Amino acid sequence: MNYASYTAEDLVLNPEFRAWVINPTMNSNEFWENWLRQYPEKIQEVKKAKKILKSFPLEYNHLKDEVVDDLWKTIESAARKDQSKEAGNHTYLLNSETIISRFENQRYNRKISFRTKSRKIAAGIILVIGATLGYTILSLQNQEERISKKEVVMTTKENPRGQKSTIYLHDGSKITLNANSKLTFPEQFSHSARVVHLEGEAFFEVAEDSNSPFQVNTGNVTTTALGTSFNINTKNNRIHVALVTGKVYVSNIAGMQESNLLLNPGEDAFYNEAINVLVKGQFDNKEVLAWKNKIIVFKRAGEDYVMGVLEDWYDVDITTTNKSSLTWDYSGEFKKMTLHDVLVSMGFTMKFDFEINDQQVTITYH
Amino acid sequence: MSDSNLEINFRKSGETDNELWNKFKSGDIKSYEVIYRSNVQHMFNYGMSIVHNEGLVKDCIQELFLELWKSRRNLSSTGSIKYYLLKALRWKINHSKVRDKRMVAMDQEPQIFRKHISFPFEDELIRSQHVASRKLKVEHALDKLTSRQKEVITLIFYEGLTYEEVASIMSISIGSVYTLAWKAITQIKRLV
Repeated sequence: MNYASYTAEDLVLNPEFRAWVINPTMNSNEFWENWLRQYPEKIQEVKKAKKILKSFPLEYNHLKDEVVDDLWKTIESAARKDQSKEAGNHTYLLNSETIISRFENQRYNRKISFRTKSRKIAAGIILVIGATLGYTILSLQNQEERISKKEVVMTTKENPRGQKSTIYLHDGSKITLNANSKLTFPEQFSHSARVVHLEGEAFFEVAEDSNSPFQVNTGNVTTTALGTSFNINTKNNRIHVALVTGKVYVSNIAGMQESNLLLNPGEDAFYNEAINVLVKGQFDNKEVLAWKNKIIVFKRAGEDYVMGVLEDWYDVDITTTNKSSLTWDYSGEFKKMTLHDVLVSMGFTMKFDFEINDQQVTITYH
Repeated sequence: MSDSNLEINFRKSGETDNELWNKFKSGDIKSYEVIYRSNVQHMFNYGMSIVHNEGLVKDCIQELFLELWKSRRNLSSTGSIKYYLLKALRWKINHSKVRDKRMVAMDQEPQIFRKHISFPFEDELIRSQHVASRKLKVEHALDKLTSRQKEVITLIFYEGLTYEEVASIMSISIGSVYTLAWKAITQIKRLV
């Protein structure tokens, strides 16, 4: 820090200065005394900084003790319920890290090895033989770069709400893209990897190519497959990967430690971004793939989830005017039904009335 | 600053965040409670600086703790539980705003009380009318801070986090954190 240009603001933002003003010690007294001796012109700034700290009025928002206790009781009882449910369940092995990291390194090496090698060679030759050959090699490298740049031309397919589509990639892979979803892929895949980017939901049927893994990037989660079929859903603030056939591995690439899961058919991976964790489980084929078969299936679904699915399916905006007195834990199945009929049936169970005005749906709980 | 004593009451002396976290991960409900009780006020205060909606912040805290419990075995280790929880809460709140939009505003009973942080030297000074009125003026000025400025100020001054930690929580550069804080302080400076 350049103390000569220090202003009152900088002093206020200096943790040592704050500590000294709030809680002076022998050491800090000595330090700031010396400091002022060195920068006597700063005395006004120091006085001002102290004044600012003294009149600092930000509120500290507190929960009352009773509220803290109540909140804990709710959390604790839910946790205990979850614990007893778990006791009967099968628990999964969580780490396949070694296998996967080996695979990961291989892939990584393959991608970079040619380039680093050619650079090393280039450097050596330039030193020994001189500029002419060096120039040739450099232009060769440029050519290589041009090729890799060409690969970066991306295509985007985007579906609005209420519309699904099927995309055939040139490698033979077939992708069914759900409503309100977006898939970005290169015009031409590179030789070593097939990388696409997904927002929303899609079902992938990947053409087999053991030399070129198929990789789907969704935020902090990467799903890698060789030749398989799987569903990925990134709606509702979560990322869900469900494997139907073959094998995939799912990696959490956020943070320091990368964590990976290897999935077998029937298994799924849930990524919770808030707490940055990837969890393995099992899924119901019928429920996860229903959208592909034009069926809406809810299984013990919460309110946000249900409303989100209906909004995407029927291209509407749903608002609620009051809070439900029932806890949403909704199961139901709808095939080729109008939104009106779906809401009538749902409103009967969940006790609400509704109104549809064009694309605007208003729900009022009883 | 004001709640650091709270933490001491619950935690076994000498236990590091890492040890506590690992006990929680192995399913120890007592450790879970310690983590909750020593962080809930910090989380609430920080949450309120992001969105001034008690119900939403409380819901997010509750959801977060449940999700932590359910996926405790898969959680990575952490050097600072408070930092981890604040970062997680920020994500939760920012992603709940969409859901909140669906809800037409509802009345809620206030369940918090507000108090000013008092620095130790403040007690004698507060008695003077002069200081009190200045404080009021500054308070009005702070209402005009942008939400990101408020967020930065809360994390630095009230949660005592380092610039590096604040930058990482808010996913911005350390330089941006400093600039945001600097501008906020300038506004206060004009009034004192």
